[in-house]
Amino acid sequence: MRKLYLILLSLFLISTLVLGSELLTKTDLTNLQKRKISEHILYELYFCTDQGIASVFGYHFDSYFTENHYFTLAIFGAVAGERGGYGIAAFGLGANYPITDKLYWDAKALLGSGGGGGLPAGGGFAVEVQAGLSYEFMKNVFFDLKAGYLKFPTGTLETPILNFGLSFREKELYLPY
Amino acid sequence: MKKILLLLILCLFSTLLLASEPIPELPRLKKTKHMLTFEVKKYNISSSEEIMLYGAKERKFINESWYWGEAGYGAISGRRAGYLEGGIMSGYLGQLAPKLTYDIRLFFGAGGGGSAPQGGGMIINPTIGLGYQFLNKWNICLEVGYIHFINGNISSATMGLNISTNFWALTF
Repeated sequence: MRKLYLILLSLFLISTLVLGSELLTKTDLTNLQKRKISEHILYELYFCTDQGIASVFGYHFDSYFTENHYFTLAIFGAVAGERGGYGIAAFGLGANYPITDKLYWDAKALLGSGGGGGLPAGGGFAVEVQAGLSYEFMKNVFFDLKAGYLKFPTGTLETPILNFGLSFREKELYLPY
Repeated sequence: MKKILLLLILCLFSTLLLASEPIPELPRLKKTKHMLTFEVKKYNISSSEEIMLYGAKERKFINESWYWGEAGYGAISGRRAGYLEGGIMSGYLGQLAPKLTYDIRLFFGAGGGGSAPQGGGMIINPTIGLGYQFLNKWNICLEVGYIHFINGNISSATMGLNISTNFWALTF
């Protein structure tokens, strides 16, 4: 019976993907715009936990609202350091400016929620800042290296961080209304 | 472990590159109304303990008012770091007056962590809210509701404040 409910629910959800769609009007087509997005796959080190270095693995998604400024979403989970179950999700704003043709300076500030894995994160509210460099080694593919600081204001956990990984930049179409 | 991570990263990036293709005819593009929401909500996790969560949800409209979507929250105050909620929702966003909206929603999902008394973790959370539209595509909304962990010991009235923005999701 439960399986039947799940199948019916899945069918309903899939059908709604089709039902809500409509073709773009001529006005829509003339107003289509492009914006940059960037996806990062990162490995991040926490240097000062009460049991030594811990590591998290995760993802940042940047959606640009100007040529150099973006809204970012981040989600990470623990992968090393006896902290299984720890996770953090955050939103924030960032800036990305070219230094040379291939090298970019990038900085972001995030607010979010995290905890688990026995880390002293208090109520879970997290503040993180980070800045670093992105090097474009293939067209639209970058190597990222950033350093920063993470603090849980309602807990005792605060630590310098270092993250590195790869990112991919592309443009997506959107309607500005 | 490192080799697995490296292979995973290479696989993900190769798919991003391989998936690139020229844009087909633009007239085939379709749009669907979506709404992205950031929300703070609070409720009592026990008779003596309050918790506040921060999260986001995305509504996908199936017509002008009915929608479904997904939502996720994490604790930001109290002493339950690591407490999370995630799930799907369905609701109706209606118009009371030119700039005044109301929202009736049912959230169904899973939650727990932070040593909370969540039992099996299954959540049901109906809400009703009153919103105000501003700057064309933004909406601020105050919501009240009731959260119940079906196989746990958390049952409480909820209060939430959220801000939303509309956008069109484009698909071929």
